[in-house]
Amino acid sequence: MLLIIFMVVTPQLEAGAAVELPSVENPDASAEGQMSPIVVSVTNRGAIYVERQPVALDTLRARLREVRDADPERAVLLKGDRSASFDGVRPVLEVVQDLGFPGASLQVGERKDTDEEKR
Amino acid sequence: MAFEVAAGKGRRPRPSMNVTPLVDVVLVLLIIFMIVTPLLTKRFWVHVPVKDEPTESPPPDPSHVPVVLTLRADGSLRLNQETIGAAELGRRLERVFAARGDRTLFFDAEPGAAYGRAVEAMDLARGGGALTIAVLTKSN
Repeated sequence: MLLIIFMVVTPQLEAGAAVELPSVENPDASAEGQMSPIVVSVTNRGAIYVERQPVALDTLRARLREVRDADPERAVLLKGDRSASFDGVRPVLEVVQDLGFPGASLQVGERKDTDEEKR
Repeated sequence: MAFEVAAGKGRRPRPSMNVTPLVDVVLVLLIIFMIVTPLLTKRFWVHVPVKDEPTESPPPDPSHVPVVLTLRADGSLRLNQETIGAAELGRRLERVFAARGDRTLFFDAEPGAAYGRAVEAMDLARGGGALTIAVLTKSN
């Protein structure tokens, strides 16, 4: 019983839309950072989600402005799908820039292989 | 046969499996995975250039040409004006940054470039020693 409940609930806990994250070898050293960033997702079809809600670009701007007015320290966590086009991500970054955020955290997976770069 | 005789003689209690420890172990595993899964994702901080920079104000110092890495639509990389392979990018950037004071790199992508490739390119740049990676939001 409990097992089934957990199995159903766990995927829902993940914030934002389901995307396949790109993986990197040099992520940020301190991964914890901010505890509750606002999650913006860009799917491989270019649809934009704020938390779990699909939005248009101007709605995104309004939402992020609200967030920034409420708490200027809050960071933006951008979950982009690996196969999304950069043209779908660029407007999001542009909005982020317009509203005066210093930057955005890209959510990525970690790839652990090949130390040959370091040699 | 002995088995049949024994079976016929009397009723033995049916063996039943004790599943409680099994369920305990499964629940603990479940909780461990629930905790670990969100920790597997990492973050990659990128800057966006500050808006309303005083454009054109000081004459550009020749030693301060910004380092711009561009991802082309076909996935190839360009460092300032020069096409560069992904394999040599790290070493090349190390030399470039060694000759400069700041380790700032601007990243741009041409229309049609894939986001995954863009993140990989920024990852390579960070591997090459770029401390500040700023993504240009307007294509020009």
